[in-house]
Amino acid sequence: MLFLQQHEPEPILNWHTVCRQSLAAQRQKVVEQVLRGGTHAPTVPGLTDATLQDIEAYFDATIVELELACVIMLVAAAEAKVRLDARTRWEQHTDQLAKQLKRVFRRARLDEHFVPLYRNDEGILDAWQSFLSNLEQAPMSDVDRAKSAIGSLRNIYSFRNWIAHGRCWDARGGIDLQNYPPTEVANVINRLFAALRSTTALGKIAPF
Amino acid sequence: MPTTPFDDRLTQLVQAQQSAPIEWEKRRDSWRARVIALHDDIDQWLASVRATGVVKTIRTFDELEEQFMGRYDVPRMTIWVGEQQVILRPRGTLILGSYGRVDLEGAATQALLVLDYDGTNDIPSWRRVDQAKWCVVYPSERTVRHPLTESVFKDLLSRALGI
Repeated sequence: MLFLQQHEPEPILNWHTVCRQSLAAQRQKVVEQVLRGGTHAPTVPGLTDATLQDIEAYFDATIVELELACVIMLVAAAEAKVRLDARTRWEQHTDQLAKQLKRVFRRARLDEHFVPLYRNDEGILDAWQSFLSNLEQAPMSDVDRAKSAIGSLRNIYSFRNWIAHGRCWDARGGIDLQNYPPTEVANVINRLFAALRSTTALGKIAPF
Repeated sequence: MPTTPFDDRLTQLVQAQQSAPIEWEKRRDSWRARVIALHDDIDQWLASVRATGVVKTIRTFDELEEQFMGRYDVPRMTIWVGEQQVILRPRGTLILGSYGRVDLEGAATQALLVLDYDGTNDIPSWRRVDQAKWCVVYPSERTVRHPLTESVFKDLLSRALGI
């Protein structure tokens, strides 16, 4: 599997690029098939007897679906990296962040997967932000920047939940698909990872 | 100036297009003629009920816009059966897997009429439009094409009217 134990955004974005290029090639092939009329078996079965407008609309919608799939993979991979790091910390370390994470996980008791990334002060990334707030000797600007980056995944996480739960609620009020292209989501995740790394450096604890 | 492989590929692409140019005006005219002929067939198939006034067929025009052909008019037919109507709406000749499509829209069912061609591709595309046969495609079985005959059309019209 391409992304097994792979939690960085870049390979997923590369996969997305390959898929986009393949879709563009397929779109070109189908449009040429219509214009030249040279073959009778449509290359996309669902588009049999489709007009050019139908075909363009189908491929436009397919690109949107591909972007949604890419976003959920990006967020899922980032979440896995944060969770795996959190488990290692509370199992193997005794610093303040490890203790906070241990409290968060003990509250969940039954299953560590029920521990959210964010939920008032009971999420994994809430523990990171709390740890940052208590770093008395760290420069305020660094702390604020890191806290902002750590919080920035929150909206995307809601978006991820919307997709992962089959879009079974009306998201139009709060979620604008245009705001979450894969490249922007990858940027947010890269900023999050950078912030977590800088937090461990500021707090002089095991690196993220 | 020496040419690069990239230059050669572009040149080959353009040469391939020039060797078999599509005559878009002829393609459009053939398609329009096939729609008119379809309407003529339908009028003939419904002649007895048209004669008694049970059925009226009205021909108007729809403006379509298709790539390379621009905007053009194609006939549309509306079949009135009492207060019920069935519309034969032309959708275009640039269709994936066929050479033209008319959507039949009734209150009870909808279907596609497509120009199906199974001959050689060695002839110009407008000739293929000329030689294609009208077939009925129902939404529930999009891969099955029923050659359009008088009895198939009457069955389709009955379904569209829900009778």
